[in-house]
Amino acid sequence: MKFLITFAFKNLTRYKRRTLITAGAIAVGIMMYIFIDAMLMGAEYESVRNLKWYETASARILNDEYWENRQQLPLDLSISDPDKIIDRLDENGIIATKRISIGGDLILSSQEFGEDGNLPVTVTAIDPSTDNEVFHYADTLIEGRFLEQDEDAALIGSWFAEDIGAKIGSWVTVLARGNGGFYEAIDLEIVGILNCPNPNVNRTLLMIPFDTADYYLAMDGAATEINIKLSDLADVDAELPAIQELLNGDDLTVMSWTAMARDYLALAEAKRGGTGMILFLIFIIAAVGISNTMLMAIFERVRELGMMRSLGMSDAKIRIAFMLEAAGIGLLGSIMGVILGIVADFFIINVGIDFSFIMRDMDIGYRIQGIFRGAWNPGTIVIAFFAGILISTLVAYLPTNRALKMDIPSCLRHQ
Amino acid sequence: MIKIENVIRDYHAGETVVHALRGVSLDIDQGEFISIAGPSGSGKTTLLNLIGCIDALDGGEIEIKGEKVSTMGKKDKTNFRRINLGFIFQTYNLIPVLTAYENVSFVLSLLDIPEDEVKKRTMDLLKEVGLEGMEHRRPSRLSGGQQQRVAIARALIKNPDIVLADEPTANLDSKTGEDILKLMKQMNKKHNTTFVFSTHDKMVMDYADRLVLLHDGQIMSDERRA
Amino acid sequence: MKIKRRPLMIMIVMLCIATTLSAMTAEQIMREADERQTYDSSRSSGQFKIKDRFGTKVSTFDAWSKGADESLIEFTSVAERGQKVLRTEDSIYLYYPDAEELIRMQGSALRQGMLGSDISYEDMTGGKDRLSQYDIVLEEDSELVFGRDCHVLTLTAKTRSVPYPKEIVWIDKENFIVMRAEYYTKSGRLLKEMETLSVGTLSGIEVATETRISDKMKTDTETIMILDELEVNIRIDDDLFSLDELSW
Ligand SMILES: Nc1ncnc2c1ncn2[C@@H]1O[C@H](COP(=O)(O)OP(=O)(O)O)[C@@H](O)[C@H]1O
Ligand SMILES: [Mg+2]
Repeated sequence: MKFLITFAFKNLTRYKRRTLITAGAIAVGIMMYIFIDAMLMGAEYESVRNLKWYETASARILNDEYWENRQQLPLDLSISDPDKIIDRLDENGIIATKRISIGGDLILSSQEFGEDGNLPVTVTAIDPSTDNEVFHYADTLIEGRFLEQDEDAALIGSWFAEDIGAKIGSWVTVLARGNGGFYEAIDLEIVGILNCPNPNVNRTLLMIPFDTADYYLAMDGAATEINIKLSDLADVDAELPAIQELLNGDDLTVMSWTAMARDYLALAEAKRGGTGMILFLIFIIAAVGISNTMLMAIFERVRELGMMRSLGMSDAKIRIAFMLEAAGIGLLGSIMGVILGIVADFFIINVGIDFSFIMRDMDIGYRIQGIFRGAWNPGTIVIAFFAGILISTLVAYLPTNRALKMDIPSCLRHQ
Repeated sequence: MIKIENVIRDYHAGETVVHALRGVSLDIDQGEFISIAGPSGSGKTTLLNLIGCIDALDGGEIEIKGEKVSTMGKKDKTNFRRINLGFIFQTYNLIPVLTAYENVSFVLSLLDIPEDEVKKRTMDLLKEVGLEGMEHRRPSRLSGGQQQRVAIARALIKNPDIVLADEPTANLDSKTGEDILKLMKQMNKKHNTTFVFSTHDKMVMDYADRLVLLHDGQIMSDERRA
Repeated sequence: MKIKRRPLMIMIVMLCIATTLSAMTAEQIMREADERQTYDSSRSSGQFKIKDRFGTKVSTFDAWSKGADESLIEFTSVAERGQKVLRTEDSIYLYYPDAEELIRMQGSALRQGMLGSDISYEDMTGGKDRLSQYDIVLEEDSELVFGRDCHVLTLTAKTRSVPYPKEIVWIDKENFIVMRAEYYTKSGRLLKEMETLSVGTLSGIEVATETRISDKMKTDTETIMILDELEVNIRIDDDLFSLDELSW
C-alpha cells in the first residue's frame, strides 16, 4: 500500500500541467459550490430574519377562523379583547403587540399626485407604543418620524412611496370596509418613510396607528392579530403549546412563523434543491474532467500497465493505484477549491453582491432587498472538500476498468 | 520444468485466421538458457506469451513446475506469474517516474516482503547488474543498456524460476546487446534461473545454450550447443 | 307592508303611476317608491355602458324577475354572451359558459363590480329591510332635479352591516321614481352617485330608462344603464330561477 501511495503521487508529477488544469477545474467547481452555498445560506438566513422582523414575528395569535379566511382580511374574525391577552402573555414574560390588517383601496388624488389613481392595499394598523418590541420597523425609518397614537397618519414603504410618488406630507385616502361591512374613507398624512429590508413589505407597506383604525373601522378595540416575539434562539414550535394554554376558551389559535411562512419555506426548500443541482453540475464538471484526465493518463501508460500485470500485479492493486492518483488530483483540487472558496466567502460575507436591480421589481421569494450577503457554512466547506476527493476517486474507476479489459499482450504491444 | 505439448494458437483478424502456432511441443529444464529464434512473424512472441501465462492457447497444453498453467483461471495465473515468472521486454518498460531502485523494488512490495529485506536485496542486485551508484536515477538519466539492466534486475529480484525475454536486445546496439546477453547468462549461471529469450539476431542466438528455431508457427530445429 | 330592495337594475326601474300623496312621511315615501318598482314578475332587456379610463364598453342583457327576491340577468353581447347572474332569496350565483363554471358569490367577492362596472353584486342584494336598517328623515320637501319636483330623504344606517352608512335619495313627487341618490362613507364622504338621466314609458309604465351610476372615489369611471324593454306581470316559469336552469 505504501508503494501504491508513493507511486500514485509520483504519477501525478508526470504531467504537471494536466494535473494542475484538472485540479483547477475541480477547484473552480468546489469554490463555486462553497461560494453559492454561502450566498444562498446568507440570503436564507437574512430572509428568515426579515420575515420574522417584518412579516410574521415569531408567532401570531389569531381568531380560530381567521387563517383560512386570511385572503379576505376579515375584520370580524378578530380578537375582541387583545389587551387582556397581551396582559396575560406579559404575566408569562412574553412580549406581544396587537395589530389590525385591513384590506382596502388606496385612493390618490390628482392634486397630490398629479394624476388620479387607486390601487389595492393592505393597511397594517399597529400599536406605536409596543410594535417595535416585536417588529423592527422603527430602525428602518429613513425620513420623517414614526407613528404616534391616534393620529390620521401613515408610514409607507420606501419602494411603495417611490412607486406612487408619495412624500412626507402627502395625503392619501384609504377606502376600506369597516367592521360589519360599511364603507369608510380615511384620509392619512404620510409622516414617515420606512426602508424595510424585506422587499415584499417595502413594496406594499402602509401603516397607521391602531387607534385610528379602531375608530374609523369600528373595531371596538378588537385586533385581527397579536404578534409575539420569542428569543431568536427559541424553538418556536416547542413554545406554542404553553402559549396556546393561555388562550384556551377565547377561540384563539397561536401559529408559529414557520406555519405562516410555509410558502416561503417551501420555496427555500426548493432553492436548496437548486443548490443540489449546482452540486450535481459541479460533480459533472469534476467527473468529466477527472475521467478525461485519467483516461489520458491510463492510455498513455498501457504498456507499463502490461508490464505490471505481467509481473503479477493484481487488477485490484492497479485499480487502487489509479484511483489513488485520481484522489490525489481531487485532493489538490479540493485544497485549492477550499482556499478559493474561503476567499470568495470573505467577499460575499463582508461585501456581498448587489442584486437590487432584480429585487426591486421582481419577487424572487427571498426577503432581502438586494445585497446578498453570505454566511459561513463550515459544513459545506468540509463536504465540498471531501466530495472533491471522493468524486475524483470514484470517477477513475471506469477508465481503469476499460484498460484492465485489454489482454496483456495487447497492452505490451501498445504504442 | 516447462512442458509444452502440441500448442496451437490462432489469431482471428476479422475473416482471416492466422495460425501463429501450429502444434508446438517443447520441454525446457530448470536452469536452461534457451533462445527461441526465427524470422519476424514466426510466432516467437506468441510462444513466449503462452509460457508467460499472459495469453490463452487454442489447443495443447502447457505445464510449468508441474502445474497446468494453460487451464488456470485469470487470478491463479496472476498469482503464478507474480511468484514464478520474470519478464524482460524489448522496450524495457520501466516506469519513468520511479528511480532505478524503485523500478526494481516495487516487484518485492507486491510480495509483501519486509522493507529492510527489500532494500538489501534491491541494492545487492542493482550492484550485481552493474548499476551501483545509479540506484536513484530515473530511467531518463540512464542509457538504453542501463535501462535494460534495471529491467533484468526487476525480472530477477524475486528469484523467479523462469525469466522470459522477448527480443531483449532488439533496441540496443550490438555491443550493448552483447553486454546484456552476457549479463543474462551470468545471472543464469549464478542463480540457476531458467532464461527463455526470443530473437531474430544471429549474434544473439550464438549466446544460447539451446536454440529452438521457429518457422511459421512450427519448430524447425532444436539444438543444444553447450 | 314589506319593503324590499331589489337588484339595482330593478331598483332603478321605477314604476310610474302618477299619484300625488300629500303630507306623506319619509317612511311612506320610501315605501311607495319601493313598492312601485316591485313587480310580481317582469322581463326586460337593456344595456350597460361601462366607462373607465381605458374607454367605454357596452354590454347588453335580458333580465327576468319574480317578486322582490328572485332575478336573473343574462348577458347577450358578444364578449360576455351567456354569462348569467342569478339572485335567489339568499345568494348570488355567477355562471360562465366558457368555463361551464358556477360560482357562488360570498363574502368579499360580493364587493366586486359586476362586469367591472360601478355596480357591485352587493348593491344588487343589499340589506333587504331598508326601513329597519336605516333611519329615514325627510330632509327637504321640495327640490328640483332635472326639472322634476322631488322629496329629499336622508337615510342613516342603524347598523354597521350595510355598505353605505348614509344615503341621500331624491324621489319624484309625482311618479316616485328615484331621480338621484348619493351614497356616503361613514365619515360622510361621497362614494357613489346615481342619477336618472331619462324617464320613459315602457308597456304603459313610467320607468327610469337611463340611469348613471358613478364612483366618486375612483374618478373617470361611470356606468350607464339603459332599459330598452320592460314587460310586467307575465307568466314566468319558477324553474328559471333555479340553479339547474342556470346552465342551459
Ligand atoms: N493479436 C494478433 N492478432 C492477429 N494476428 C496476430 C496477433 N499477434 C500476432 N499475430 C500474428 O501471428 C503471427 C505470429 O506473430 P508473433 O508471435 O508476434 O511473431 P514474432 O514474435 O515471431 O514476430 C504473425 O503472423 C502475426 O502477424
Ligand atoms: Mg515478436
